[in-house]
Amino acid sequence: MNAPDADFIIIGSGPAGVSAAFPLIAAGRRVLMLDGGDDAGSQEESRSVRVLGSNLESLRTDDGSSPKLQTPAARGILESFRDQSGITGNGFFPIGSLARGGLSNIWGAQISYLDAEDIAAWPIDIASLQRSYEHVAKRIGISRNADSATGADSEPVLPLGATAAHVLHRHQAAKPADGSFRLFPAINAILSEARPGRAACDLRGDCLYGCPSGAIYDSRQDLLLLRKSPHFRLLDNMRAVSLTRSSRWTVGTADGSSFSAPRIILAAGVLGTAALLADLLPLGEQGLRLLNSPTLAVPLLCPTRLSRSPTPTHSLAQLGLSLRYGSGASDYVTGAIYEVGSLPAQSFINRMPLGRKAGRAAFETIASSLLVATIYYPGDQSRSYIHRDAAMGKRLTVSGGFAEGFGLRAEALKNALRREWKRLGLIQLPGASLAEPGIDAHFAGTLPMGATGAFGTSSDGELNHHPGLYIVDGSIIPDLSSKYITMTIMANADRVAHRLAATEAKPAL
Amino acid sequence: MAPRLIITGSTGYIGARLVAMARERGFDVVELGRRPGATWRIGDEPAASDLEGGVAVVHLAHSWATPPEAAEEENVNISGTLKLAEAAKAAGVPRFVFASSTSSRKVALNVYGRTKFRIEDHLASSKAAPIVRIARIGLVYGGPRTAMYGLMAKLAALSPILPMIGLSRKVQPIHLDEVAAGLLALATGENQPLQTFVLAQEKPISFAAWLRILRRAQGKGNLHFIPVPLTAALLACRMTKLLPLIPTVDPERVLGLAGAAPMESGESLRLLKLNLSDPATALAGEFDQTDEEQSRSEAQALLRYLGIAPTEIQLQRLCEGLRREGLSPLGLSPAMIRHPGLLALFEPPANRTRHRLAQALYLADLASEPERRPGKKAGFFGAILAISSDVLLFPLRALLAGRYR
Ligand SMILES: Cc1cc2nc3c(=O)[nH]c(=O)nc-3n(C[C@H](O)[C@H](O)[C@H](O)COP(=O)(O)OP(=O)(O)OC[C@H]3O[C@@H](n4cnc5c(N)ncnc54)[C@H](O)[C@@H]3O)c2cc1C
Repeated sequence: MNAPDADFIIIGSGPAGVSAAFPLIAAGRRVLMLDGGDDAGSQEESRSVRVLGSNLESLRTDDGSSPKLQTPAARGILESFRDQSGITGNGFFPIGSLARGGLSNIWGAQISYLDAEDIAAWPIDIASLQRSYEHVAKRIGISRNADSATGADSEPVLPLGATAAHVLHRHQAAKPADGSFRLFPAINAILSEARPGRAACDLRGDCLYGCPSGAIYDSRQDLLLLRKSPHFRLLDNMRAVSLTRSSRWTVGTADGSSFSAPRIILAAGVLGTAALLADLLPLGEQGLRLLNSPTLAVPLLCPTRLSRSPTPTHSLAQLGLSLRYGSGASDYVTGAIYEVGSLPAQSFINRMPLGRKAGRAAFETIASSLLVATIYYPGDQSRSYIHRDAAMGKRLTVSGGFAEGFGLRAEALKNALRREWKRLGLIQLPGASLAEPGIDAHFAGTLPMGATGAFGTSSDGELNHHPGLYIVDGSIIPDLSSKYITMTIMANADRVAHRLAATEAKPAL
Repeated sequence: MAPRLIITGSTGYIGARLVAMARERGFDVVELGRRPGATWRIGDEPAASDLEGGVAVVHLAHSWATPPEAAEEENVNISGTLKLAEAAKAAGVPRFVFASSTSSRKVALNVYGRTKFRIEDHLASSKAAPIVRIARIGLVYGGPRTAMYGLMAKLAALSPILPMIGLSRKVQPIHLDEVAAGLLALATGENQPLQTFVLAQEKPISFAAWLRILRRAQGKGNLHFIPVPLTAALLACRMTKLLPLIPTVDPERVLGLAGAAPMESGESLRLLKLNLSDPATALAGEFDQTDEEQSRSEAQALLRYLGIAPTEIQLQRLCEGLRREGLSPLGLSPAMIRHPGLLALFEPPANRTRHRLAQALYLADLASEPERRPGKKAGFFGAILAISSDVLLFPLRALLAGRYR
């Protein structure tokens, strides 16, 4: 038998995959990373190419999805997954990537940290997660949006947009009655100070089209660091299609190659990992449970800012918010407030009952005083399942849905929020909308850590009944709070990899 | 010395093409007709100096100014043509080519057909007879979309359902270039055994089939007809004369479309070495080419409507985007292209994302996005004006928006 190709094969180069790779190579383990995508789509300086695509991919009629999912970068990332993964949606928007760097190429870079209460049901302790949060934070660079009045703390700060700053001041001046509503400067993985290979945010404000300066974290940047190590190898265009075990694990790829190692680490994203495991899991009638966050978008007008000029800032989230809606530990929603003025006007005009010319005039008049709040419910408010239809071979379908009574809770939330908007001097405009499940791309909980049976993993992410097969992406996060999940996925992958690096490298059997 | 060719009616649909082709082939062309400075009109005695040394006169001019139902013997077209032919003979011109029509018939329904027939008859018994060649021309198409051809092309593209008379009437189309080539061959050919030639497709097709070809060539789908009886059509023509503000339709034209028998053209085509192309293919090529120009001017109009002075790159992007989305051409009218502001009358609300014009304007907006300066905005009053006129015009636009759906 040939020598193994590496000590570990990591499938997927997104945030989870790179976070698992660092501790392993630091411990001297040999890592082979396979990714279904390639180097194409790296950041492009020309604004024309960033906005419209090198082949004018963006010049298509509006498909009704969020503007973020229609940029050339997003199309390039999402469409190859849609075409090749064999996953379709039924009342669900299956968002996944087959590109180097995964969804971090287009993510919103919003950061949340879970606390002890959030992970009460997990088979791990908060201290180990917190250590890993620190490793990751140091690596990716995190800044707060703050207005200069609050002064600098130890973290680097980015200026808040003027409208967001105004709303934050109002919030601080008039505290909410029951204290359940929190509003704070958003925490983003955006650099406010340059680092080797990455420039600081230049406040140009067209982040939606990609960040040519590299100020927004994207796991491609980590791949540049990883590739400096002699222990690390990345192979592009290697879409894994099969996993087989004899004395060790062998990964077969779409182009017919195969690679083997004693341990495999799956980091293909929740949907990508489910597709890869479809043959190993006894997917029956009910299918595989999938947690996703039901998502609400609310347009808001800040009348006191009407016809003021916008101030330069980035166009990702300006403010973070949270609001309790029940007494359970996870009964709160999390959200973000964006300034609309720096987002592309077209997508808003497309939804107006005015002609395009008048629509643009209207937009430009009020854009600087417009905000959009996006609000996420926790995963227990979703009812989504991954099915496999025997007649369809390996193809999977994700059917989406909301938990019982969700409609009522959504209404109650809207009412509670309305009171807060009023207090903040904001007018809620018509057009608030609940997105189809899956549009948020916060997925988790298919193969939770600590669960017994075929659909569970150990606290180290090792799939039950399949020794040597580890999972580090969102699949093993046992429950999905409403907080932004990627920072936790990365920290958990870092934690698992530290544990694996500490164990002796030995064959799986 | 270049051979000299005298052409009357040189500014018309056929005349202009014939002049261009003759000049291209090295003729020294003398134009008799409406060109500036020229004083000759049909019926006038031509100046001998214009005719001398000519290899042929090609007579295309026809006066429509004769009173309707005029005593046909006094028709200026008859006397004028005879005068011209006889002058040519006297000046030693060896050939006189008379442009007649396949509707030329003693008992034709319309004055035009009967007049043409009478001219042919008179020429045959005139002093000029030995030099006379008659070209009976079929339904001419191609080239600039003007005259009767332009009208038919427009009609065919207008809507998928068309009220129409004379649907079963047979027509024999011939391309403008082929007519011009045929006329030149007649003007220069030495020993032609016939006196009357037919320049027309050998196989006649129904008028309905012809309109369908015209529609398809313009990238549109099938065409259905509501047959209109001739009497009703004539009545409608008379009504147009009584009603103010709408263009009058000459019953002459309507009668021209009604009932005529096809003519045998095989031998003429062979003698003139004319190999006629298939109209569907010829038109597809022509419309394609002009589609490109049309798309470009449409793209320009869309951008200008949005207040953007288009750059070359924006235009190219937009043309490409419109083409890929199957939105090109939209079929904007020439007036709209010249005055893009008029689009305001037809533009649907931007959230009607299925409407072709709404989609096209979205692409135009997007195509100019990379060059847009952030923070630049219209003044407050400008915006109020734009929005309120949008709201005020809404009912009108709801009515008109169907046009570019
Ligand atoms: C528009 C958008 C905005 C977002 N905003 C935020 C935010 O603000 N904050 C936040 O916390 N999260 C956000 N997210 C979610 C975040 O992007 C994901 O949680 C994160 O990228 C998940 O990382 P991952 O490594 O698990 O998977 P992915 O990023 O999906 O990476 C998976 C990798 O696996 C590879 N792969 C997949 N299948 C195969 C295969 N069969 N063979 C080989 N390789 C394969 C892919 O090429 C890819 O490199 C956002 C997502 C989207 C789409």
